[in-house]
Amino acid sequence: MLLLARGQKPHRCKKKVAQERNSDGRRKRDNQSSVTVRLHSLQRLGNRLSGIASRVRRAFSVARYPRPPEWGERLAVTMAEAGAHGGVLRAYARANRDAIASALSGWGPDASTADPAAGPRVVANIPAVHVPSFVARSRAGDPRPYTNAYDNGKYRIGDLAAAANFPTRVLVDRALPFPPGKGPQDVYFCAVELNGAGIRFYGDMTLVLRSDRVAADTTILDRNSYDLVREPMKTWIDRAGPGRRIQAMRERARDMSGRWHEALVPMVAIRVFEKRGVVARRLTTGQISDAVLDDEDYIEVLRIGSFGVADLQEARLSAADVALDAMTADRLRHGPVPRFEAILWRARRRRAEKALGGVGVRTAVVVSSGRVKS
Amino acid sequence: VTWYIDSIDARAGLAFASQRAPDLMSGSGLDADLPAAFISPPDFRVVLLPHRALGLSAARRTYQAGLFLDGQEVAFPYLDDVVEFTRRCFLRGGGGDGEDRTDGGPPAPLPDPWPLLEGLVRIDENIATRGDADGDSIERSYREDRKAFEAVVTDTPLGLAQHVAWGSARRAAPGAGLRSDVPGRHVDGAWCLLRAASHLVEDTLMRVPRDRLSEEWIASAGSLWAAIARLGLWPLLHLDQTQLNALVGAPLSERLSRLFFGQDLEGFYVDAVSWEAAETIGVPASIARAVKIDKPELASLHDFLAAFLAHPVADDRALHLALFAAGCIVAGPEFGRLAWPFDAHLGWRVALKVRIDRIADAAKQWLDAQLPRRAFSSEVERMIDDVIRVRIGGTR
Repeated sequence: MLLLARGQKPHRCKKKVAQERNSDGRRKRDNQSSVTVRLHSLQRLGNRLSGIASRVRRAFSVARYPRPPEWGERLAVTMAEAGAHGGVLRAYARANRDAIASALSGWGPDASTADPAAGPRVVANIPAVHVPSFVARSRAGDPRPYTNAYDNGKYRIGDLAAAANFPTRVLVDRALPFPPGKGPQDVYFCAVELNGAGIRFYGDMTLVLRSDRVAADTTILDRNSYDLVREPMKTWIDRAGPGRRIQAMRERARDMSGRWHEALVPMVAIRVFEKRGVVARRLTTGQISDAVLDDEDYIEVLRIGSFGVADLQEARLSAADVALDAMTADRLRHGPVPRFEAILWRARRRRAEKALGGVGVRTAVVVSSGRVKS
Repeated sequence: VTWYIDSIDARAGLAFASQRAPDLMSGSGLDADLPAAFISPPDFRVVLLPHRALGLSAARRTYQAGLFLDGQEVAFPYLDDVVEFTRRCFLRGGGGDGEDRTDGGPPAPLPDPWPLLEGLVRIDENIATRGDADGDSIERSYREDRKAFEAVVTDTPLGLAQHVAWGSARRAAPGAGLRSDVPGRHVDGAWCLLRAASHLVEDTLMRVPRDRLSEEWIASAGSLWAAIARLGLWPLLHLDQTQLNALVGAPLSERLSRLFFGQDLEGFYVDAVSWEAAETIGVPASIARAVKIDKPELASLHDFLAAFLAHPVADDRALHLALFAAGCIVAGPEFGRLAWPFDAHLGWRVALKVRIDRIADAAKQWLDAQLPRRAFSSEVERMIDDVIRVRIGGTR
């Protein structure tokens, strides 16, 4: 696993490949002896890989549940498997792994310094309609400006009490690895984002937390925790039998989870390789960003404690929503007359942006997954 | 198979729904791998998802899990019904936005408000007429449609929804057997707009601060002035100066009169005024209460229209105001500059009235297209009504 301290520049891929070529101290030539050496090396590597892979497979089996391998170790397996397909792929996998670590450290592809505003962030999407009250609660010193399901108990239509804790949520919550003494009511579910506009299904405004407001030991999951009740995990868990179901869910949840400071880079790298494959091509920042949060597939963050405007780096809007806003404004002036839903939708975002601006939080527009424009 | 809501953020107009049995409270667990539909503003087009996990997870955030009545999940026969329910919730929630507005809204209510004087602003009834009860009028058309809507609500049992239409769309329906509602035939368009304008001017005058004109009040009054000017209504409105003198005293009365009524015709050639200005125009409290806005003194014309569109009420003043708001929206793009067909024989006031009637017709057509497309049972209609009151951090 490659972890970078803040401000440390990772090695460039060319350098890495060059080092590898010269590691045996002599110039490699395409002759018979070097081929034989290579074959032996590959054989040894293959044996090593097979051992690691079987350990990982055992770790993931339902029957036995030892401590799951660390995310760094899992990434090592992924990298080794890539290497088994040849030196070229291995070299590209390493270079791309470094590029991922670089992007997650806030380095642009050609930048000489890390951008303090860039890098992975914990984000929470919220509909614009709720932003003014979020700002008002922050200003009023409310301990829970950003709210979770438990805080929102009375924000309901229909029956108040029903489904506040529906059985499936209770089940999933029981399985999640909360810190000692903390429960679901203390957790504010967020996502990891790199350059993007978060999970727009949950709201059109992305609240981006400052990097220094995320505890290093924050638990992250490599997917939505509700995957625990979806196939194929559901069947695997059910196989454990009714008496062990919760235990099996907890074990699966533990497999999915890690700590922010140590698991994020390998977790993201594995996601990138899973999504894009190990190919002989360098990754772009946009491709890395897309893999971090891809449509409805995201890295879930179990943030302990609420947050307010003082914890925000910025808010983000998607370019698509901004374009719709602009179209509505244009239609209001020149026709055809827009529907009122579009007018109301736009008005709410203006109010949200104004409320955030009033407390010094800027709103940026995400123009592509690789870039954010202020 | 019936549709049920997995999670919904009613004010935001966001919902996840799936076609299934009512399993949200099932102790044996639910099937999270069923396909789901995501509904969102502004166009409320459906996005199909391969599973329900995203919707269930949304209930950890601002969404509520499911939609329940008396412990049972509320069913919707078709996905279109869920879409319409969500759309109406979204609009209805807009009616309560005034409570969240930090600045830029209508003038703050006065600690010792002026008494409301109806009749302070009169309409030129020689030009603008209300129309008789049997004639083709916007009021009659709306009253009939509203009555039909109410009847459908009463007839609709819980778990079902019925199609409804307004204006010419309702009358054009096969077998409707109703007199056609042809745009352009309405005789009371100008009268409806003028009634709303007079109510708004009266309300704005009643909000005037006693000591000095605040910036907030001037911004609001200016927005209203521009809106009325855009519709071309000023020449047909008259202020009862004597009443205003008696109320606020001569110096202030004269100043207000100059502000609102002292403009020459040049002032009517205003270009399109942005609809955002409607957020600063206050609404008479009695009309805001008619659409059940909780804090009527905070409601703007924008908020009022949102509440009305989700749940049109049987109140002529509310109709006039909604028509006025709709007129402001359609007048910009469709009647951008005031260039009426001047006719020396008829006189410019009559020509102006023709233009205002056209705006009113366009406004009525636009309004009809925004009003409810489905009627639900009275229980579900009450839920839509409630959206105006619920808010994060609020109490119920």
